[in-house]
Amino acid sequence: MVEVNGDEVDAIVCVAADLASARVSDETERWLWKPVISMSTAVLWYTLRALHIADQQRGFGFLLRDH
Amino acid sequence: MTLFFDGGGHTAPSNGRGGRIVVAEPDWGTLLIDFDDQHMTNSVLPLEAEARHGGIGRRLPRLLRDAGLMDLQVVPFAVLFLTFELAVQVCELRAWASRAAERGYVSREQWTCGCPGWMRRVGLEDSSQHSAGLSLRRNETGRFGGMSRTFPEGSDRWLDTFRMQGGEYSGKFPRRKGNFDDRCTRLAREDWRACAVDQHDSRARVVRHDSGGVTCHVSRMYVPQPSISSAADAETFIQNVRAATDVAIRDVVILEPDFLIHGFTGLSFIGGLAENQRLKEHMEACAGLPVTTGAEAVIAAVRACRARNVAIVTPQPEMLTSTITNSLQSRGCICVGYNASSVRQHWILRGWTKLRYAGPWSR
Repeated sequence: MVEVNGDEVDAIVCVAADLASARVSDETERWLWKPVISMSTAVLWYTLRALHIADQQRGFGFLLRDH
Repeated sequence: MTLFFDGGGHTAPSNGRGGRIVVAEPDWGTLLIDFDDQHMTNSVLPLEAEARHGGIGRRLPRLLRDAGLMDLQVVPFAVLFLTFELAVQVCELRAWASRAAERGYVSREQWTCGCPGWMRRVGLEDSSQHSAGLSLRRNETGRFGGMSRTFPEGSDRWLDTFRMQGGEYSGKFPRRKGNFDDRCTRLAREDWRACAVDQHDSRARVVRHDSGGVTCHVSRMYVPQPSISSAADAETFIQNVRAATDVAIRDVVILEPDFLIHGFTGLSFIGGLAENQRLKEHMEACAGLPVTTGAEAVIAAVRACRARNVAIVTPQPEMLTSTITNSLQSRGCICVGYNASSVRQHWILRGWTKLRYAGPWSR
């Protein structure tokens, strides 16, 4: 993820559920200071919010923490 | 033990030393459980509490005073669990009971026939007569596909959401054969995390707990395609995945979920968003449930963080990735991709492909 990062990149997306990226993305956000979207987290977040379940959880990136 | 430290403010002396600490620790020796077999309970709890330094909570003030701390204040706080299920999870009673048996606090005879209730109640034996103890309850628990959520009884909130998203509900959820309690027992034996439902207040609110009130049930797919080296291989792989998806849906809906998440996220990008929509509709028809796919989730996530330029990291084989790239380019997306396989990480599967996109996902 550090490799694909660049000044013009606003966010990084991990497209694959078989990448164990849920917790890694949270750590990477602290390194790079930009959003990192893990696919596994994204589908869970999207589903929870679509169902009006607003619970927020730290440790899995900005999606579940702030949105 | 939880420890909070306050080194500043008016409590600190002017020389910079000192401060205030707050120490919190449960006293397991004072754990009380209301259960019919009090003899059994009373014989297990003290021994187990002693084994894990259960009296440390009451000894802390003395230890802290001996260590030279001053102005001690002790605030006892009783935590009350009104449901046995919550107590089992929070206090790890299942582990307690298991260790009690291993260490001989409970004889084999007691275990098997004398006092099986304690063990059965915490899920160490067949709980067929106590299935309500650790399993999902039909009237109090809404079940979402792949996920379950405690909702007030009769709530159709998820259905409203589904319709708002343009979904159509036929009213015919696939119902499974068999007795519901049998399924509950099976779930308990397989150690699914139970929903912490406050049975006294189940209509009024969702009970917050670490398990979240949402359970996820995974169905895996077997795809007989070991490698992808050509476009034909990629096409065969995709066909195999689609066939395996239908089988996986069949296997997971037997748990009566209420929502389904498509976990093979790479597949949802192939063919573009139109193909993703067809995939979603096919899965919804197959499962009789609303479905979330990876492509729509990523689009929503990118919009949530208001990003315009997005870097993509994916371990998909290059052949598959090019399919994704082509489909995105056909929708006006500018893709600049190059191989970054020189990067080595232990969780890289088949090399990386680095892509940078700018276009349709921007706000």
